[in-house]
Amino acid sequence: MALVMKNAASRFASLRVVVASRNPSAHYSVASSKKAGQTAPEGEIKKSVFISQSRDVFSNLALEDWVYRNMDLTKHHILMLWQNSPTVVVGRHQNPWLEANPQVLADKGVEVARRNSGGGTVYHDSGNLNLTFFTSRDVYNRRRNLDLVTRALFREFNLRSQVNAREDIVINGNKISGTASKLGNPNAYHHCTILVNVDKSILHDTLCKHDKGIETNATVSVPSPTVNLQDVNPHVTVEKMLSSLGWEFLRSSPLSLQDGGMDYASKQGGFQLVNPTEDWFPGLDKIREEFVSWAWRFGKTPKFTVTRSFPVPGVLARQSEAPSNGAAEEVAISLEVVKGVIEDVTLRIPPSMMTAKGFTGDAEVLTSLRGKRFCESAMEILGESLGESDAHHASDQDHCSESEGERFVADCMRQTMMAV
Amino acid sequence: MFTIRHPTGRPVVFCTSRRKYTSTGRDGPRGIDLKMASGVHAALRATQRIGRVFQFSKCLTNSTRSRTGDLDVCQARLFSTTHLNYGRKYTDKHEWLEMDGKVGTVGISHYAQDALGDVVYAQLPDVGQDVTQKEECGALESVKAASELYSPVTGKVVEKNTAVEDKPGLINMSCYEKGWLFKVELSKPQEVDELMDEDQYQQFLKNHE
Repeated sequence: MALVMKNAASRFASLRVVVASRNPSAHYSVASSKKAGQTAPEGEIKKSVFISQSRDVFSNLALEDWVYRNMDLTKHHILMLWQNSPTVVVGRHQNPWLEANPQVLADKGVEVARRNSGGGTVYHDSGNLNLTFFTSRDVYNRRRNLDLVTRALFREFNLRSQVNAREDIVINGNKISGTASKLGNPNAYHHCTILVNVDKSILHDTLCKHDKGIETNATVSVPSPTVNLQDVNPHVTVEKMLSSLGWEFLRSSPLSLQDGGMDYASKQGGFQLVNPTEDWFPGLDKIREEFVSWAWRFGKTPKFTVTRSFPVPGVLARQSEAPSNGAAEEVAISLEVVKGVIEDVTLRIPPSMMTAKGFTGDAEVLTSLRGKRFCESAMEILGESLGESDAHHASDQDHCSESEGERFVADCMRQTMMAV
Repeated sequence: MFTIRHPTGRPVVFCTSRRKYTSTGRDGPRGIDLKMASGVHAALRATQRIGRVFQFSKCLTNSTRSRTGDLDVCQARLFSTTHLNYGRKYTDKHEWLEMDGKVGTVGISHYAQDALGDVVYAQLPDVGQDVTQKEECGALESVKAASELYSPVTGKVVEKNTAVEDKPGLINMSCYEKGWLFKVELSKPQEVDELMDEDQYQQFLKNHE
């Protein structure tokens, strides 16, 4: 018990957060930056393990960001361990409509979140453990952290794993951990997932990729075969994994990763159960709000274009102008989406669908879509335009085929957005 | 709530009392060392290249002194590198700035692009956006890492390099020319004086190795 008490005391000591106000008159000069850039000697760096008590992805991402932004990590390295309720997390510069399957997300009640780090899309649930390694940027080293994880896997579960060229951890070529990181100044972090017993059917369904006709230069995920650790070794549980990773972190020296055993571990900051709330971390609510916002999750999506074509049903094509080669003509729709908002709509109607007066119904649909958020609000607008055109033309026999055409086009529009 | 067991089997008690964490704010400007995770290799490569840059640097000082003479070998080599430019200023976060009247062009240094590895996405500030010296204004993504971009000066963005947005690899291929990032109309021109010149920056890199 004495050991435990000592641990508790040193935890508090090491958690003392230095309050340093930003000095607006600070100058950028070689001398001052050199001084600030000096790395603390390894012996002066303490280590702590933070275990988040929340399973809310937005609170956890906010906590990560809070630590990154506010803590002085020069002499204090932190490993944060956290879990989320079912969530698809996309990388900072990714397209959630391209990476995830919104239909499945809605059906299964899976959240969509965007993190601040680079890399690809991952699925989290209670069978997955997340690790975030916080350091100052000058000693940031992803490989060192991953080596620590593979060491923990071997020490506790006798599992042999490798770090591959993409810096994923693999066992027999199957991925058990994916990595991403964020580098700023003065701090940086590297986070990774550990698949213990994730629901793989939902993982596959949510991340299922279709040819969605999306053109973008957003970062695209690299799908890899995955395996749950529990399928390799049935003794692995999330709880044991968390404990063994925490201890491995505490017993290893911060830079050279030398094993100091339990003696060394007991001199560190220990395990801290933390609650990502405003009370504990002032300013956290504001960061969380940002992570929840539509503007961050969807609005941050790099510019993209969705293009789809639909063959015109025979009844709508006017016989006289139907192509003689018998090939079906197509309605082509192209939406340009900037910052999650529809900026441009292009609709190509084949000649066979044009009436003598031209195709009149579409203009309204098109103009009303511009400036609308992709894709839920756009769907409502489409529904409304469709309803209106029905009312206008229902009684007019002459316009019957025209309104059918409009309906078909509106339907194509809807499908274009639904498919994404 | 998790239970952590000591490897010896003894239970470990946690201190779960509510604790206030305070925000420290940023601790002034700091030097950084762009050591990426892929790390040792990138750093090694960077060191090697800097070694070369230093040779060129010596060439430059020699050749500018003998400006009247013929184009010597050193000068010829220098022209092919386009690494060194004495009108260019640098930050300790490895951004460069080149002034043309009131407008400064911003990019990242050769050292930075090398340490980053292949850039796959460039998030640049928008035209019309206000940027502040030393504040985040965008990000560059490479091998699963998002690196913050800091503005070297305060002002309004007047142009961004859309070619780089479409083809981020330009940053690796031509970080001082085709791979420029954005242009700022400076509101505090005196900030330029705080930046490092080529010699100081080379010395800064050397000190960081």
